[in-house]
Parts: sequence; structure tokens; C-alpha cells
Amino acid sequence: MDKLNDQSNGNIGAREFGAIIILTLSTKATDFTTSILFEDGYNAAWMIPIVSVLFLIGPLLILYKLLKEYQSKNLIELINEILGRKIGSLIGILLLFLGLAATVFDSRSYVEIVGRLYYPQTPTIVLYSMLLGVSFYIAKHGLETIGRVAVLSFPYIKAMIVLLVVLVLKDVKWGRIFPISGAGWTDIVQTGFFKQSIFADMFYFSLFYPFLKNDKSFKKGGLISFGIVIVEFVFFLILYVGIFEYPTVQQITFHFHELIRYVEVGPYFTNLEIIYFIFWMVGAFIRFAIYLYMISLLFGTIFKIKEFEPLILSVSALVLLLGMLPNNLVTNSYLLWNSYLLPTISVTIPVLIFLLWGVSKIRGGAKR
Amino acid sequence: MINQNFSRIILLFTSLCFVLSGCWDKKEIEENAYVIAIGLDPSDAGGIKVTYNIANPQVGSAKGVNVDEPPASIVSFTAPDLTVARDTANAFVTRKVNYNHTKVLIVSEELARKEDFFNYISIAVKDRELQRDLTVIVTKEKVSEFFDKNKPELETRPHKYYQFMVNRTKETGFVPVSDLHRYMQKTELDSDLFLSLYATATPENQKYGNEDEYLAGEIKQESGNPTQVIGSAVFKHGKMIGLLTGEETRMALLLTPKAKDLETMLTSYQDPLDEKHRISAQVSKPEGTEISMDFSKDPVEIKVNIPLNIEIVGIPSLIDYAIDMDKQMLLEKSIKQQIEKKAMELIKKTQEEFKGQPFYWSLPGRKYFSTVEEWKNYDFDEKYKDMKVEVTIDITLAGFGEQITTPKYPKKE
Repeated sequence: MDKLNDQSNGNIGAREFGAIIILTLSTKATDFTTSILFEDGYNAAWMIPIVSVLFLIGPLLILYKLLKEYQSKNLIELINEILGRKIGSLIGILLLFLGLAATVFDSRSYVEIVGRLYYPQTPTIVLYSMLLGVSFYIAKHGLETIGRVAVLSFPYIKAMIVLLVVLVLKDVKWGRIFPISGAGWTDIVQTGFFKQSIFADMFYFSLFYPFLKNDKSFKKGGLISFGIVIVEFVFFLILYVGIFEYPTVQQITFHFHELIRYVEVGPYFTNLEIIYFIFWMVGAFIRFAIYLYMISLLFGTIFKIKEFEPLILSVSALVLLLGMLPNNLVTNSYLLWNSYLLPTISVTIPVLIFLLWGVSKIRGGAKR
Repeated sequence: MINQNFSRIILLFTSLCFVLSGCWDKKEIEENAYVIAIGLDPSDAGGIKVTYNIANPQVGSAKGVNVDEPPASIVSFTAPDLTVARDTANAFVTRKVNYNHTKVLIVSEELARKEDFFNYISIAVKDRELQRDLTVIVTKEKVSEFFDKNKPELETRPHKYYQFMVNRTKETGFVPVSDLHRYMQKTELDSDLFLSLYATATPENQKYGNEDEYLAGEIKQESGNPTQVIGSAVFKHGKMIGLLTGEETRMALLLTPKAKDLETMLTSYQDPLDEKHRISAQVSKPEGTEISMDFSKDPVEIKVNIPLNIEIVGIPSLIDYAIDMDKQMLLEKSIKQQIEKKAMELIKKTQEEFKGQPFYWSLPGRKYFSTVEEWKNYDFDEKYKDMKVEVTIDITLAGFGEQITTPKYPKKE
């Protein structure tokens, strides 16, 4: 019985799917993603996600249409079916590489935040294994468990976020979002296009299409949660500008952590960051659990391994190994990540979706 | 089955709390030396002179053991900067020097006026233990001297002392809100002047003045702790360039766009019907100051409208303003004129002496620009000295104290 449950690739509903999406994507407003946005967008960085979504939403809807047309196929199977096995595998490996790279960069940056701000004496490898260890533990129980954990912790994490906003609201000057266009409109549109990969997770989540109870829950969970994520993301960017103000907002690397250090309740409770830190970590565990699961699933589908869940352990170890490679996050990997990988993914995804769509049209849609 | 899994996960999370809180980063309270105030002075030998006010966690705790020890210890030494000073201090402080609870950063006027002051102070924002809401205080004398003379009597525990001092003086409006974050923000944007608390423990040029017309050290104080905190130090391009008295600081706070920062202040105005007396009032700003700018004009016109609630709390001349409408109008008009005159004087001073404004007018100003580039190229700070500023005060007489009529003067025989 236990075995059955552990291996459960049982279906998840719209609620679980939505919670996973929101926790995964909205934690991006609390890591170094924001500093990438402020670097290019200045005080108008909050418009970048909106522009990105405008670029990305079309391709995503097309992808959804394709998924619906070719029932019960995940992303890779869909690519295989439309473009043929050879090209499909090639693209699959490319996607696997990009996804793995994203997980490695993200997880390392999280470890860097934890190490630098909270546990300066503790060796990086210990913190890293701790993060991946917990994420692995959640991931190994399957998608259903990840979904349940996400749903369970969701209200607590969000309640803390609301409390945070209430506590800092008195220090926010909304007027700081002016001059309205920041570095200029062209810059915003350009950055919005090249940084749309911030929401690339939405593309990768289409891997879970067959795992959802039905088509409606995929659509409902996906759309509603994506909407919430965008609103939250934009709100947080405005909040950061409203508190830190340009140009200080550009100097800060980890806005969320600077913000929670700024919070106090009355004159007596001043160092509250550690409470927020715990909730933030729970969010991080779920986020990396889903990433580990996703990469294993990707790997399994490409190489036709039906029982892909045992792969999660190897994937976690691989992420740990690769993540320990860079000596210094900011100078090495951050630059590489920001200037090469993000734009690459941003271009790859829409191009790939349009290619799939075009070929599918020419071939006359789903067979049978 | 599922329940079992969850209880396992919860167990894991709880055990994680134990694991992550200990190990490498564990430090007992006793092993730490909590620096409450960091002082910075210029040093002739290079680097800076750092002074620590270290709290003794054993004094004032509920158990009250070892009450013979002093509540704080003061150490002073030279170091390259305030981050590495921590380890240098360990040559004579046995505990790990910790900035997690540092409340104030005190710098002497001499250091604040130096060209490279920004270099020394900006290090603090990179330090992970120092928080950005650290209060910046400028002292007239050397900081080491300030620490020696400062003998707080009611709050012997240093963290309480600085906390109360900063909070209370902020409420009265005698000093501005000045944290490290604002200093960095204003210096980096370079469109506003930064105001910092001004304090001294060395009384000088003592004189009689109205309640707020002082600089720190000028209040005629007969007894008590000699430390006075009133007025503000003005910073331009990250460097101190001048001083504002308590009265000017209050006026500067009234001119800033935001509503908060100063809750209520007690102040006095000239009685319009009696030259010998002044009328005391409690003033508050219920809403933000309205500021509109006309960049199409040359020079640029700025219109400022300050809404004020004024409650008359004392009329020493004993004239009954409350029950006479004509007198009330006269009083209102007189107060309005007095405040407007003061405001214009301050604006003139900032335009001529400082050539910049400490009123955070870059906030309403930047609305008129589309990009950061345009705003920077416009150089608001530089153009401010020629701008035409018009201040109007919108007074609401909120009341006449607890007792409406004034007491009748006893008839003399």
C-alpha cells in the first residue's frame, strides 16, 4: 500500500496545480530575479513582467490548444508526435539542459542568500545538501504529495506575505515609481521580451498536462494562478521601489531579504527577519521539489524510462554537484545566467511553440 | 497512508529547525558583545577612529544577577573601516563583536565635513549585520568625547537610551528622521539634501530662545544629563555642509510632501494683540503637503500648500480669542503669516546658503519627467537656487484647549 502511495503519479486537481504554480513563480519575487529586473528597468522595472506576459501569453495559449488537441500527451510527447522522434529528442535534450541549468542557478543562488545573510559560518555544501535533501524528500513522494504540501503551506506563506505588506506599507511612497518610464519605453519593451523566460516555468509546467484530473483543471489552475502570480510580482516590484527608491533599489541584491530586515513591530520587536526566513524556506523547498521532479520527468520521457521517480535522487545529486562548481555566485554565474541563458530561453520558447503550431497545421492537426 | 507521510514531513521540518539553528553558526548570548552605538571620528594616523558602546546583557535583565557591573562599556581604537574594526576590537574585547543590535551610528561633525565621508559610511550598507534603518547622528564634538560626557540617568541601559532618544525627538520634530537608508538614497539620487540628527554633550553659547530656536548645546539647561539633541546637520553630495536649528528642522518637516514623520508639535506664536506674550499651540499636519511645479516657466514656479491643524493650548495674555469671532480671525491670520514668513526665510536660506533643498521635493518633481535620464540631466538640485517658491498655509483652528474660555485676571486692590 505504502509503495503504491509513494509511487503515486496520481492526478492532481486545479487547486494543487495552482498552488504549485503560485509558490514556484511568486518566490521569484523574493530572490535575485528582482535585481535583474531593476538593473535594466530602473524604477519602472514593475512594467517588465507585464510586457513579458504580453509576449508570452499568446504562445502559451497556442501550446495549450495543441495539448488539448493531442489529448493526454505531455510536452515532450507532443513535440515527438509533431516533429518526429529525432528532432523531438534533440529539442527535448535542449529543454532538459536549459531546465537543469535554471535549477542549478536558482538553487545555488538560494543557498548563497541563506549562507550570506543567515548562516555565514556554515559551509555552503551543508546548506546546499540541506536544501536539496528536503526538496528531494518531498519530490520523491510524487506529484500528488508536492501538490498537497503546496496547498497545505500556501495559506501560511501567503498570510505572512500579507502581514509583511501591512507592516511595511507605512514606509511606502508610491510617488517613487516616477519618472514613469524609468530607463525609457524602448528599454522596458526590450527587457520585457528578453526576460520573459522568468515565466518559462509556465511552459515547463505543460509537462504535467497528463497528470491533471482533466483538461479544465489544467486550464483553470494555470490561468488563475498565472494571473495571481503576475499581480503579486508586479506589486512586489512596486513595493521595492516605493520603499528603497531608485537608485538604491539597483544597489540592493536581495530586495526581499533587505525588506524583511527593515520590518519591525513597534519599538520592541525589531529583528523579525528570521520568522519570515522560515516561511520563505518552506516556499523554496516546494519550489525545488517541483523542479527536481520536473527534470526527472523530462529525462524519463526523453529516454523512455517509465519509472522515472527513482531518477529524482540522481538528479538531486547532479544539481548539487553542478551547483557547487561556481566559486562565487555574483561574478561568475549570475552574469552568465543573466546575459546568456535568460535571453536564450526567452527566444527559444516562443520560437519552439510557433514551430510546433506551424508544423501541426501543415500536417493537418492530430491524427485519429 | 497520506497522513503518515505528512507526519513524516512535519517531523522532518521540525528536526530541520534544530539542525539549522545550531552547528556552525551557534553563538550564546554571553559569547557576543552587542555593540549598541558605533562612533566614528577622523584619525590622523589614517583609517578612522572607531568607538563602540557595548551593552552588558546581564544588567537590567529580569534575574538581575551581577548588578555591580556597569550597563555598558566603551572602547575606542583606530581601524581601516567599521567592518573590519570588529576583529581589531577583539584584541581587547573578549567576546565576538556583533552589530546585529546596533541602533545608532554616531559621527563627529569633523568627520562628516570631510570629502571622503561617503566612502567611510557607505561601507555600512554592505555589512550583513548592520541594518539599513540604523539612525545616523552627528555630534558637535568628537564622538569619543561625546560618549564620555553623556551620562543618561533614567535609561542606563544603552539600547533603551538611544531608542527613546531617537523616537521622542522624532515625534517633536526637533530632529529629522535620519537613517542610513535615507542617507544612501538621497546621496545616490543627488537631488535632495539629507538631514541628520544633531547632538552634543558639550553645552556652548547658551541663550534664551523660544521653544525650538536652538541648536544642540544652546539650551540653557541647569541640571541633568548634558546631552542635547536638537536641530539637524545638512548633507550635500554625501558630505555635511551646514546646520539647521530645531525650528528650521520643524519647518523643513512641514515642507516635505509626506504627512507622517511628525505627529504633533507644541510651539508658540506671537500674540497678535499683546506684544509681550506668545500663544502656545499644538500643531499637526493631517495630510501631506501639496506641491505643484510649473516647469514651463522660467524660473520654475513651485507652489506649496501646507495643511495645518492648530489647537491653541495656552494664551498667557489672557485675551479671550475663543468666544470672539473677529479676534479668532485675527489670530488665525496672524499665525498664518508668521508660519509663511518662517517658511520663506528657510527657503531663502536653503537657496542661498546650501544651494539645494532638504524638503524631498524631488518626489513630486520627478512626476513631470518621463525617464530617469531626463530627470538627472535636468539637475533639479542645481536649478533649485533660482526657482520661485510660493508657500501658503491652510490653517484649521482645531480648538482652544481643554477649557474654552481663558481664566479671568484677578483684580488688584
